[in-house]
Amino acid sequence: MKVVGKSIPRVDAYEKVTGRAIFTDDITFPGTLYVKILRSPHPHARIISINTRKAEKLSGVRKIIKGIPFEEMKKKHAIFAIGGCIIDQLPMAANKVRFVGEPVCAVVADDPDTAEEACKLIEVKYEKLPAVFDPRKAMEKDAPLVHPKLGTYKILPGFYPVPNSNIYHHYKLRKGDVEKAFKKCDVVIEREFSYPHMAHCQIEPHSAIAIWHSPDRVEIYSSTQSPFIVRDFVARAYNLPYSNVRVYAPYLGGGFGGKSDVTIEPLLVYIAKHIPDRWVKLTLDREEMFVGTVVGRGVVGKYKIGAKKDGTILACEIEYILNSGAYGEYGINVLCGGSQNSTGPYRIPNVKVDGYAVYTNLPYVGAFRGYGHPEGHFMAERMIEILAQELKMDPVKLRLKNALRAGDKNAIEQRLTKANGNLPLCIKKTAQAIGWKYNSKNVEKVKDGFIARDVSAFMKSPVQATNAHVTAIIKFNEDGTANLLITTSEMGQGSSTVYVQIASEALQIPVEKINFIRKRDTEFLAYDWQTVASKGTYAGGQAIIKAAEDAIQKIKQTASKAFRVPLKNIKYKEGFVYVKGKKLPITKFVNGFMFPDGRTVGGPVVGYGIYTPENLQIPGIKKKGLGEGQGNISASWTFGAQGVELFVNTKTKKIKIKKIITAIDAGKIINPKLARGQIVGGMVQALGQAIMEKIIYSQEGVNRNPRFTDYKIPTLEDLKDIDIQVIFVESPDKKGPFGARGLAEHSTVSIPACVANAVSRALNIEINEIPVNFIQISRR
Amino acid sequence: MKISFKLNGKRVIVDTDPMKRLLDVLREDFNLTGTKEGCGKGECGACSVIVDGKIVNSCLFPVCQAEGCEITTIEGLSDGEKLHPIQKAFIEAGAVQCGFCTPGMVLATKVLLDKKKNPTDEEIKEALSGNLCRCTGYVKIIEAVKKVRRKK
Repeated sequence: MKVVGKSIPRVDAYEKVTGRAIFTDDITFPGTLYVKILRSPHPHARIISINTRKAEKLSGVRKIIKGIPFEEMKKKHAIFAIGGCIIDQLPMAANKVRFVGEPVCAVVADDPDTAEEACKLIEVKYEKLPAVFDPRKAMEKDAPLVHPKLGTYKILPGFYPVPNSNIYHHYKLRKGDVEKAFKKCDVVIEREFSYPHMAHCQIEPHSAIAIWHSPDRVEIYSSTQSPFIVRDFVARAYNLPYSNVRVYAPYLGGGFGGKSDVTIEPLLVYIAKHIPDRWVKLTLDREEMFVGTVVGRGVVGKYKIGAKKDGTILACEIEYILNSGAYGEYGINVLCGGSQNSTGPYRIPNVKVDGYAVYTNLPYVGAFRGYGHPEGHFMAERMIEILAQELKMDPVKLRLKNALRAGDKNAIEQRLTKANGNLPLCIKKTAQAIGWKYNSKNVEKVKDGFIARDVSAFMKSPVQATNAHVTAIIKFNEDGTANLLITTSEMGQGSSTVYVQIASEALQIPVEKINFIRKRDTEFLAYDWQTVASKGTYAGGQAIIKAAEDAIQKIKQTASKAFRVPLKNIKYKEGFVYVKGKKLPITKFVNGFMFPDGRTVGGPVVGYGIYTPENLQIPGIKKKGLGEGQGNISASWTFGAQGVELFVNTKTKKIKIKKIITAIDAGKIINPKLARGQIVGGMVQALGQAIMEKIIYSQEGVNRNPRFTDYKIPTLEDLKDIDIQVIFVESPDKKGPFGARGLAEHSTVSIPACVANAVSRALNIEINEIPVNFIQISRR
Repeated sequence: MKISFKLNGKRVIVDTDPMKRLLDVLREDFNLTGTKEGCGKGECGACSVIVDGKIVNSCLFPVCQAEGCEITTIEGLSDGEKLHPIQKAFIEAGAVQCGFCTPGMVLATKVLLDKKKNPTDEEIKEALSGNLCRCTGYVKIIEAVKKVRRKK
C-alpha cells in the first residue's frame, strides 16, 4: 500500500498552528446578539414566578425569554420537547427545575456583559421540592419522582421505563442460566462498585450561533459532533421541514462525546425563535461547562462472578445502575452500551445483566469517551483480580484462560472470528512490556512504599443506531484532482487526514491531489449519522472506498463509450486508463471525454458511497431464539489490553504512575502517528479519571468544583517521568477499510481498573471506587 | 480611553474601555481569533499571548496594561508565508489534535526557547504546565519542543 500505514502529517495542522482554524466562537455575523442563561440554584423546585421587569429596563437588553410549559407549547407554538429515544426534556425549564444549572430564563442583549448583568436582575420565586441524588435511593419505592409523568412520555420500542418510578430504562441481558451455573462454581464472589460523575473538560467550551429566518428556516453553527442529529432534533422539536434546517459544524476544540447528540442547540433555537431574523450567540463559560451541559460516567454496580477451581469462569450477574441525572435522552444508550459490555472481554457462558438508567436531581449524563465501557470494565477487571486472589491464580493467566477469542460467542451471542482481533496476544504483549512476572505478586517493597503492576483487558464496540449511515462523495475536478466530501466532525481525532489517506489509496492517486472539504454542513453534504463511537475510520472509510470505486467505475464507463470497447476491457491504474493498448490520464475522462471535433461523451465524475451497518438490531427488542438483550447489536469489536506500573507511597498515600501501556488490535493502522496520538491521549485522560477526577456535589446537589483549579485534569507536571507505550497488533478486519477497526476511545477503558488493581494488591486492600486517591486509600 | 501598543510588529491604537480584557480586544477589535478562550479565569492557558517577552493569560489582562507594550499573538508568529520553526515542529511531531490549545502552547514554547536555548525536560514541563491540553496527553507536545531545542 502506498499511503495507508504511513504517518502523513495532519491535513488540518497548518491551519491549527497558525491560529487560522475557525472554531464556532470565532464566528460572528453583523448584528449578532449575545445570550446568557439564568440557571436554577435548586436541584428540584417548582417555578412560582419570574420577574424580569428590572432586567428589561437595562440598556442593551433586547429580549428576555422564559420557558413555556409542555402542554401550552403543544397547543400554541407547535413546539414539542427534546429527545429521540425518550422525549422527556424541554429546551428551557417551565413550571419545574430538576437540577442545579438547568436553564430557567435567557437574556438576549447587545453584548455578553449586559446579558450577564441582566440575568442578575431577574427575580425567580421557587418552591423547593424534595430531591434525590443517590441512584439507589432514587430506585426506592418512596423516592421523590424526578418525572412523575414518565409513563406518558414518548419512548422508542426496545426501551423499558418503569412508570411511577425514577427508572426510565431497564435493560436486561440474559444468556444461559446463572442460578444453575453458580451452583457448579467452586468460588463465587460478590462486590459493589462506584464510579462518579466526571466532566469532559474539552478546552473549547460549547458554542453555537443561530438565526431563525422568518417564517420557518433555521441556521445553526455549532461546536457539535453531530450536525445531522442536531438537525433531526431541532426540526422535530420545532416542526420544521428538515430541508429548512441547516447545521454547520466548524472545527471542534475537543469533543470526547460531550458534544455529541444535542447540547445547547435546541435551547438556542428556542431563543432565536423569539427574536427572529437576528443572529444570536451562546458560548458557555467554564463553570457552565461543568454545570450546564452533559456530564459523564456516574455508575454504581453490584457484581457477582463464579468460577471453577481451574479458573474457568461459569457465570456473572451484574447490576449496573446509571446515575443519569435529570434527563434521559443522552444516557439511555450509554446505559445499554455500558451494561451490555460489563462482562469484560471474557467468555462467560451464563450472564445476567440488569442495567437501570435512573433519574436523579443532578446534571444529566451523556456520552463520554468509552461510552459506559470504562465503568463496566472497572467492575469486571476488579472482579477478575479479586477472583484470581481467591483462586490463588495468576490474574494474567486467569485473563488469558477466559479471554474471548476466535470461535467464541460473546454475551450477546455473536460468534467471533479471527477478523475480530487477537485479544490473548494483546494481553501477552502488555504483560511482557510492563514486566509482568507470572505467578508472583508483582509488588515490590521499595523505600517509602511499594511498586506494583497490573494488566487488564478491554473490548469496545461502536454502540450505534441501526441506521448509522455515513455518506461519502468524491467529486473529480477537470484537472484530475478530487474533492472529498464527508460530514464527519473534526474534533482532533484526525479523521480528515485518515480519510484522505483512504481516498488516496482507493483512488490510486497521490494525497496531494485530494482536497478534503472542511465544511461540515447539512445543507450541502450528505447524511453522516454522527461522529461518535470510534466509528469514523471504520464506517467513513468504508463509505469512501465505495465512493472511490463508484468514481473509477464512472471513469471506465466514459472510456468505454468513447472507445466503443466493453467495460471489462478497460483497466484503471494509478490515475491512468488503459484502453485499446493506450495509457491515458484520467483528466481525459473526469469531465467527459472530448473527441478532436468537440463531440463529448460522458460527464463530470462524482463518486458516491455509503456505509450502512448491516443487519444491526436494537438491543432491547427480543429476537427469536435469543435471550433478552442479545442479538447483532455491535457492528464491530476492538480488543486490547492495558498495563500500569505505579509507586504507592505508604506514608503520604500518594500514587505515582511510572508506566502505562496499551496493546490494541485495531486491525490495519491507517496512520500510526495519529493512531498513537489518540491512544496516548486516551490513556492520559483515563489516568486523570483513575486518580484525580470527580465532580463533587454538595448535599443540595450543587457542583462544588466547577473550575480547573478544583476539578484537576492532568497537566504536564503530572506526567513527569511516565513511560507511555503503545503496541499495535494488526489482525486485519474483514469489513473495515484496508482492514482497519476503531481505536479512539479504547485506551480510556481499562486504565482505571489497572490502577485500582495495582494499588489494592500493593496495600492488601480493596479499592472498588474511583478515583483511586489518598482519600480512598486512607479510608481502608 | 485610547491605548496604544505594538501588535505583531505593528503600532496600533485602540479606543475602548480600559478594563476590557486583552483577549476580547484581540478577538473583537482586531479580529485575531487565533487567541482562544478556554476558561476566562487564567487556568487553562488557551488565551496565552506574549507581552514584552513574557507569556500572559490575556483573559486576566486589562487592555490598559498593554499601553506601550509589545504583544505577539499566534497570528504574528509566522511571517505569513514561512512557518516559525516551533510551528513546524508541532506539525512534524504530531503535537496538534483539536488545535484549540495549540496557539497558547506554541507561544508558551516560544517564550521558553527565547529565554533558554536548551531547556531541560524538567524546564519544558514546568514552562508548559500552565497550558492545558485534553487531547494529546502532552507526549507529542514535549517531543515537538525537543525537536526545536535540538535544531537550535
